[in-house]
Amino acid sequence: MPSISQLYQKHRQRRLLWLGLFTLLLIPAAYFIMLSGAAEISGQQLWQSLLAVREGSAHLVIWQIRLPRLVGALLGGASLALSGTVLQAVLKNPLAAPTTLGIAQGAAFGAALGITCSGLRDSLPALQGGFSGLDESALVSFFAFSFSLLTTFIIILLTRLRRAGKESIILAGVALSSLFMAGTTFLQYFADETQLAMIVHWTFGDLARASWPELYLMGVVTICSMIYFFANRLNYNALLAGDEVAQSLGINVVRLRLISMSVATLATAVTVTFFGILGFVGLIAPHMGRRLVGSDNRYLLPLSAILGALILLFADILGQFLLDPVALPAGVITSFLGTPVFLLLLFGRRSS
Amino acid sequence: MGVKFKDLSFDYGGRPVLEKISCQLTAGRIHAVLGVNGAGKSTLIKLLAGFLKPVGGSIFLDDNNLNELSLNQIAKRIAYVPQQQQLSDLTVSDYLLLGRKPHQRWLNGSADEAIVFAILEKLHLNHLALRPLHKLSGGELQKTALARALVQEPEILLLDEPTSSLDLKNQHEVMEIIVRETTTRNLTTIITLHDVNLALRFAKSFLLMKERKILAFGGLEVMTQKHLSELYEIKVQLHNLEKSVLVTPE
Repeated sequence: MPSISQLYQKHRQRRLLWLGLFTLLLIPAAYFIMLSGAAEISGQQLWQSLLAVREGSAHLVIWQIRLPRLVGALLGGASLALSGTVLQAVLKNPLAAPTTLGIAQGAAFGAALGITCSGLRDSLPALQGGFSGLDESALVSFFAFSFSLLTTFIIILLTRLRRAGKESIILAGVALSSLFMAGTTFLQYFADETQLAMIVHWTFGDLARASWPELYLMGVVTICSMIYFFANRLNYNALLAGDEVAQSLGINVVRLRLISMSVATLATAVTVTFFGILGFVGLIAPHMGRRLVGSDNRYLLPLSAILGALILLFADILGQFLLDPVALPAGVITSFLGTPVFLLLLFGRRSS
Repeated sequence: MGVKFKDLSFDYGGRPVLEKISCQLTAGRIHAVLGVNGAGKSTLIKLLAGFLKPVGGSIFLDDNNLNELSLNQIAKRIAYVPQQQQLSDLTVSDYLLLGRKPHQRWLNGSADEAIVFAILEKLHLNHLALRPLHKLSGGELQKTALARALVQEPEILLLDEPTSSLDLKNQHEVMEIIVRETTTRNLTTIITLHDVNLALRFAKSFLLMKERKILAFGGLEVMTQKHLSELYEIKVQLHNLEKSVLVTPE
């Protein structure tokens, strides 16, 4: 009969197997996204362009369009999924996610405000001095980022209030989302046709939006947040045993919760600022991961990150083919698929 | 390691819960904290665990003031088991590994795992090693929580009503584990209990708390009819049995 130690190692290997399997799945998904798009590019051209040839239209498409989209999907998916996993862990609420806390909606409102201000700046010379250093897209990003941080700040302020329970924070997030959505609608009502189109387009999360400099910034934020989250994986496990037990294990629970929420929302804010709203990724990836490896954050955090990236890659590829030749933004697909997948996870779990 | 508290006071938003209580609890024995609901038993445990900061007085672990120790230093010395355990899908082994948290820096080493497996074996919980917490019975859950605290290798064990939701068999099994580990590890075990008979059977020292103060503290000699009647605000009778004393309402 095998010893407990052997059984435990087997159990651990099974969870690592899931991690390995989904990491491997990233390879065909990445290959596929590199080949899909308006311009026909063969596998041979792809490898040549990546490894040797540094000129021609194929090289341009691969390096300026396809590769940023792939990197964007990997970083954005991982960042949103990790943020969702950590928010769910620290708030002990399976509904916690960047979209349910209103961070994404705050960014959308900020972007709408940025687009409107940008229009006003062009038409009113008196306003031109205000943001003279920023071009239009930078101005929109600045506003989107500021408002997602503002939402973060409000949420963190609420967690600091003694009376605010963990459930109240989600409800406050829902209320904030409604407020920001109302604000966006208000701005849309007064926007001219071009601005309206820009605002609506911004809210569709689109992986094609980010360019290399933005991806570098996103990469730095995502990797730093990943390191922080992974360093605290055992602390998040301890929170599963309750706040008092976690504190009795030497963890400063209040500080952990505060910093984790700040890092998670910062990572989300950066992603949403550059890509727009990519609904449900931060909510679904942790739930899918939990079904496969359980709540142990040593395995759940990396698996969620991989699943988040896979979801975005899949959504982007599906968007390319679903209404060909029209390419749907990944955000539309994640929002459409998110609801049934989430319901399936929710009720599937109950029935099991 | 013993625990000493001197002139310890605490209040919740101005409402006093403990008023200048002092006591010294020695190692190697179980100290049962008894009293009616609201007497301040759980508050005392939370103060000793470092969750609450006293508004007056001090707590000493040997010669170290608890307030001057870091959370991790406290965690290396004091383990705490709450009344209700939080359920999750962590396996029993992974849950027990949490107990090694104060002693590790980055990874769970094989030495940590060996400690966990040894405790599982000692408490006859081997068969539960890979079972998720939410699939455990009440008794199994409480023993697992106790095992997690022991994995922490503390010098002081704080237990808040560890038997309150258990049947008779599990109450005795849990208490027997506590007695055995307290003796073999020379722990200072402080336990709040509602069941005075369970306390009489397993504890060696009794801290009787009434209206924010200590009514009496000592060995079996303080468990008198007068003290217990005053403590529980009901007349009680003490019956001397072969192995222990039984308390019943008059």
